[in-house]
Amino acid sequence: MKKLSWLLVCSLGLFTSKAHAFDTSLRGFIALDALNFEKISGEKASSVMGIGVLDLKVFAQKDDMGVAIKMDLDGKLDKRYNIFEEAYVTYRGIPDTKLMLGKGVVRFQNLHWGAVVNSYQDGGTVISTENSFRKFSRKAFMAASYGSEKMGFINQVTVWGDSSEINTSSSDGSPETTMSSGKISGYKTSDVTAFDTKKQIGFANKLDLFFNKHLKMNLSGIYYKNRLITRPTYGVDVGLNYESDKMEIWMDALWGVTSKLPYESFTTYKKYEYFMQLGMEYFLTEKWSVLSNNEYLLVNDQQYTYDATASDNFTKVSGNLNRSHTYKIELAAKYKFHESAFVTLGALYENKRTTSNGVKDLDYIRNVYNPNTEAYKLLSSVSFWF
Amino acid sequence: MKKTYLQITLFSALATLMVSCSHQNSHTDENFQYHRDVASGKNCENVRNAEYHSYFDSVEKCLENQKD
Repeated sequence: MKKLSWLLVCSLGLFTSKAHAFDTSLRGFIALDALNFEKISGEKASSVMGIGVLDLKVFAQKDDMGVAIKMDLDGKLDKRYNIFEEAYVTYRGIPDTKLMLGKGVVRFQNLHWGAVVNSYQDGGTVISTENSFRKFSRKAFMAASYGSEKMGFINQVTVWGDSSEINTSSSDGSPETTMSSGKISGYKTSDVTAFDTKKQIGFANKLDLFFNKHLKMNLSGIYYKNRLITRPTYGVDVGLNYESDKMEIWMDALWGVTSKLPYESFTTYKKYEYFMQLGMEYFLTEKWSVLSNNEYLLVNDQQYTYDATASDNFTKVSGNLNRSHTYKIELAAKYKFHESAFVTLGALYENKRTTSNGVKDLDYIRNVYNPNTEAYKLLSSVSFWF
Repeated sequence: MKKTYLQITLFSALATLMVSCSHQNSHTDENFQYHRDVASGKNCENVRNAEYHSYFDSVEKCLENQKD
């Protein structure tokens, strides 16, 4: 007890002599859906009201070190560590260089909110889309960026892994499955704070080019390999942003290939997807602006062929090739009633057409939600920045 | 047990004293208020509040530029 006491006193002495306060800043964004009206063809119309988005981010900085924690308060908080969408440290001791380590977003796409709802890349749909390439968030990552706007470019390289790993058998390394009613229903997974490179590894590179103070372009690539599957996931993205006092224009184009294990959620043997987004905001006055956002998604999804004798829930599916075209058109008007708040009134039209093995107009296709349908949405929302 | 409680209380008091002393800065430091303003984000309040995905990035960049 005596030894422990002296150890504690010495530790306290060391700790407090080095203790310094970090400069901290708390920021947040809230979007409240005041009254939304949705109508999907074949279903009853519905009114939706509530919290659309709720995010808080804490920044702390001291000398060359920084810490950032972003809490996803509107996410699925029942999953372990899910409340922390981002939690990373940064080091900027080397000129024009930034090192980052922790959990967060892998920089790849040129993400941009639409006019009424979020982009397809971040779940902004009424009908439901078939794309696998979404915002790469909640990934364990290590990144290094070099450059600055003054230099005309910033290049960021990221090594990353998923925060959920499939458990494998210690004897033969095969994935452990879950059973439901005597049939395979999925895989046993573990939520991890740090990924194991023996199980998975991902790489990404994003090059931002600054042509002048108005125009910016990104060229990006991403690669991911789960060692339980021979086919990797990879993609490229090109984006453009133009900003001036009168308008903002954004564009993003993505091509990607995804492969997953046969019993994973939203599984695919091989999926090719092509995404395009083009939008504009025009500032009529200091307070009023009008927006338009248009997106198109083409997905060719080759499903697995399952062994008909296997004891799983998928024996009825046999190598279907599902091809879906989804697009949406958004128009909105925005009124800035305060320096940090605005109201958005807008409308959205969305359409989805899916064929399965070349057959059109099917009402039901396995693993495809709302395969052939269209939808309308009228939205009024209030957004606050702080 | 009594001895343990007394030790814990003494350590806590000592820790509080030492930590609060190490955080004292002279209020006559001419950069003190500037650093406080940066910390509170006052100089970064006019970050363009236009786009959800880039908002937090813009704030982070502004705070880093302020530090520089």
